[in-house]
Amino acid sequence: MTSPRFLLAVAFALIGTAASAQSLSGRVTDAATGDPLPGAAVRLPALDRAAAADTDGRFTLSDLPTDTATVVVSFVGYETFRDVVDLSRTAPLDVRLAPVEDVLGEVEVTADEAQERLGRDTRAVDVLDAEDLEELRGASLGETLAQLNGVTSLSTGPTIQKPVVRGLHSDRVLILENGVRQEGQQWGGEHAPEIDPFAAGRIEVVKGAAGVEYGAGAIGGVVRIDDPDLVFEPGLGGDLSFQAFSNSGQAAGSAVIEGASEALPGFAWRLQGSLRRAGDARTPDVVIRNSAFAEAAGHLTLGYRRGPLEVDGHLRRYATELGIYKGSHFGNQRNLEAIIARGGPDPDWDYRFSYEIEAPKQVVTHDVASLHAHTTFGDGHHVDAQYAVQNNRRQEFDAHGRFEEAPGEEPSFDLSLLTQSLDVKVEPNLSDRARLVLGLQARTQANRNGEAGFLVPNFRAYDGGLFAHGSYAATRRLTLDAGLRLDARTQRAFPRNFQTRGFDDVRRTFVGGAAVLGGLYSISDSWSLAGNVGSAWRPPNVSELYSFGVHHGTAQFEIGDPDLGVERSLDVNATLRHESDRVSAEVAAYVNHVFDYVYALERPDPTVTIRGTFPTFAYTHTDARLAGVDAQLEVRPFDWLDVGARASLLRADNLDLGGPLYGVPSDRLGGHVRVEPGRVLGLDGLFAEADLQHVTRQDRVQPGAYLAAPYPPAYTLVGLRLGGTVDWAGAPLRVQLGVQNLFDVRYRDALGRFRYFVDEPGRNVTLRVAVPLG
Amino acid sequence: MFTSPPARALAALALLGSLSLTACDSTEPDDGAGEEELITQVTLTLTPQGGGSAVTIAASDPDGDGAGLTFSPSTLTLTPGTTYDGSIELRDTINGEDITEEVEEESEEHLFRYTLTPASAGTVTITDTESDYTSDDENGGDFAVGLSFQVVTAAGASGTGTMNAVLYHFDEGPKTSSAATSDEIDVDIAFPVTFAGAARASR
Repeated sequence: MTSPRFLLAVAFALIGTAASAQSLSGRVTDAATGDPLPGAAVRLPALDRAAAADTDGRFTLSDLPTDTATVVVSFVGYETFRDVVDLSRTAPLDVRLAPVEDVLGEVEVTADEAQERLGRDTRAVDVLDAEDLEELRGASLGETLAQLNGVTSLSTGPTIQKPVVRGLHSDRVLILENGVRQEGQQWGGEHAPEIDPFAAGRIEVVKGAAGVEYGAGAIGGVVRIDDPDLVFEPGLGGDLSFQAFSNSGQAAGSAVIEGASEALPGFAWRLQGSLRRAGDARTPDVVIRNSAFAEAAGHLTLGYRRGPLEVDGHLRRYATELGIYKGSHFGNQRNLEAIIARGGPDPDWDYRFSYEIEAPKQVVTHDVASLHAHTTFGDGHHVDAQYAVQNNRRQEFDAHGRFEEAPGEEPSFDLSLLTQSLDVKVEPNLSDRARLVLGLQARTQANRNGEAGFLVPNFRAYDGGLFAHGSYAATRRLTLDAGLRLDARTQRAFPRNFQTRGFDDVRRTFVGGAAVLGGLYSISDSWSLAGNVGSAWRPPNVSELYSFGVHHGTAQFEIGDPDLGVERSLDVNATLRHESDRVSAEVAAYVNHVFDYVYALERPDPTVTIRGTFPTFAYTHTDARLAGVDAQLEVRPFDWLDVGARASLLRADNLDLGGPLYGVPSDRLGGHVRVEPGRVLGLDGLFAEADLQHVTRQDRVQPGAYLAAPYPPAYTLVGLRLGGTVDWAGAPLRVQLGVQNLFDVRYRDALGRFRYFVDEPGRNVTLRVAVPLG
Repeated sequence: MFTSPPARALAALALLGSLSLTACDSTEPDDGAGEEELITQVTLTLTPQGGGSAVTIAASDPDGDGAGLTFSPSTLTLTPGTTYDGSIELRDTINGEDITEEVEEESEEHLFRYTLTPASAGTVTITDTESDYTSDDENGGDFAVGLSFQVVTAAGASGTGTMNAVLYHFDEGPKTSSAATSDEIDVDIAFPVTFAGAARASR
């Protein structure tokens, strides 16, 4: 047991060193050619801190608690640099790595190289870092992620966007916020993720099946959203930002304050809050009636470090109220046909721009509390544990309480989903060349309907999973990656029985597994090839099992299948990367075969009700194949110029019925030109960027599909951004001016759920300013 | 594994959390949860002018949407060459409510449209207007409602057909004429019709 005197000594030591927080920055280059070495690992092993060199070979490690430290810089194919460095120095650290002499046969793998390679993913991974995220602030998570190649957005009007990763979304894409798996009513295509991307320091999208590490649901991919690390050095800091969007009259702002106190050594905290308020969005021709929204989010993070132990706790609340376009709410198929024929809003409407949010609308709150601890013991073994409890409350208000006195006052349904989860991971230190993670996950869920309506049944579920995932640096060029996982979910649901008007009591247990086998091969210093065969699974969700009724906004009668089994996928993908001084390129190809893919298939006979005729869709399963290519190329002919091109192609087929699979994005091509004259002129952060995106028409139509045709025509959007840092009373004020949809193009997208009713928003001028505090 | 005090506290918290969930109330729903107001029965009553007994037909969907619409009797039997005074009645049999009254109260927001198929079988004319039910005038006109109507069957009508009744609900945009339509249909039923019996001698 540690004595109080020892604690006091540690405290004084921390205060002493903390008073002079250090940072280390520099550049890693090839000693022979002087070229930068992007991706080189810079590590301070004693402090457990690390950074990777950027595309220009530059790196920064800030808030270092000591004055001197051993710095290790490594890069595949180069001799490792290791030296004790005085951190109080102000000059940048210039590290020149000498290429390893290519000798015959296997060169012994050095520990540092191996560790660096073991951390890489054999799947395609795209990252939005803090800088990228700052340029996108004020946008929703769905819009933010759609910047990435291979990621698109499933929209329900201007207020709801969901990420689609390689053609899959909702229950097939997991979202993790600070390691906590987000649990809401994510099965619904018009239920946006309840996450505020303002707070994120980094967003990473793993494309493809990742069932071993993340469990059930990781069929299409995983979105990881992480906050920046807490700052443990005493002091106060923060950041203020403000955004204004012309199209919808949106104003948004975010504030972060963080700090640590000398009085409480080892503790650090951060408080973040954000607000977004928007009025109706506008197409090039009309105001999109009732597309205003109001959103607020807050996040408190507390951290504690002592020796090898690191603990952090999070409290997070997200609340939104969002309007849904009035013209999307209608009666039956007769109405829908009239609306499609009309092609736009009701000409009898006399509607003007407003900030008012009327029914139909959604009111959603999401609360999360989590506690995370990490420690090392023995000879470098790691243990990581996390407990989280989250509650999702979703209320949806119909346009008309059918014959109620006050429409929009009472929700037409009101769902509460309470989830608790425990994740434990152990990483024994086996060898410098291998890494093994053993994990356990346990989760409970309870879903309740309120008084108002009955959308999906009440249920209670228990989940458990066990996994082992390892990687091994086999040779100097080859790293292997393998894993296995077993999961089970047992669920007791109370679906409505429409004959007895009571409730059934159905217990089901689903068992699934996942596996991964992959490799990463460095062909040369600048070329690498990664390949991976992965699998994932998911149990059917309650909506697929027990839906029964008309889905508003599509005039579909949906019928669940209570006997549906689990969905399993086998995803084969390969990624070829090139990274050199002037060129970055990546080509990723994949084939994701989904066994027993669950979808809603139109029945030949419509459902006839008192309210009229509704096309009827019954949930069923098929084998599906999603195959595609995501490619991107970036060329930097001069230090100040960056030209890029990207393409994302996808073919998805329903293998049982033959023909295309319904509801996948069409092909996308794009490019950008970015000029950073600051690099030449010595001005910090000045840039101008033009972006172009062309979206082809989805011409692969499921034969006979009622809602599939007609898909909207192809469209091309152009955007501009201009930004820089100006001195504002001594503070560096970051300003960015942008235009989205510069040419005010009228367009609709195949993945827009309102593509029958109204165009997408037109030109949008954006202003973003941010200033650091303290 | 949980050797350090914070880790132990974490484990205890997790255990407590899972216990609390197991112990708390079941997610089992209450009976009657989620009942919503629906129209489950629509009845047409047609009374021949100049005497004779009224004919009726009721369309029922007693469990709300889904189980299928049934007609009782299975068809509405109309005599060719006859003028009928008609009325329509809407009911929620689950909650025991008369929806006809609610349509009367909101007559400015509702409009029925009736059509006979084939069109040669006869005509349907609406005989009531908003002022029959309310003295308000919010939509700037005294337009048709359609709770009362007149059916004139053609003298040559024979065989079978349908009588379609559609109720348009005007909420987002006002009812601007007696022939207006809206994007919100509350009722849309094709009642089966059989034309039988000799045409009455006109008097």
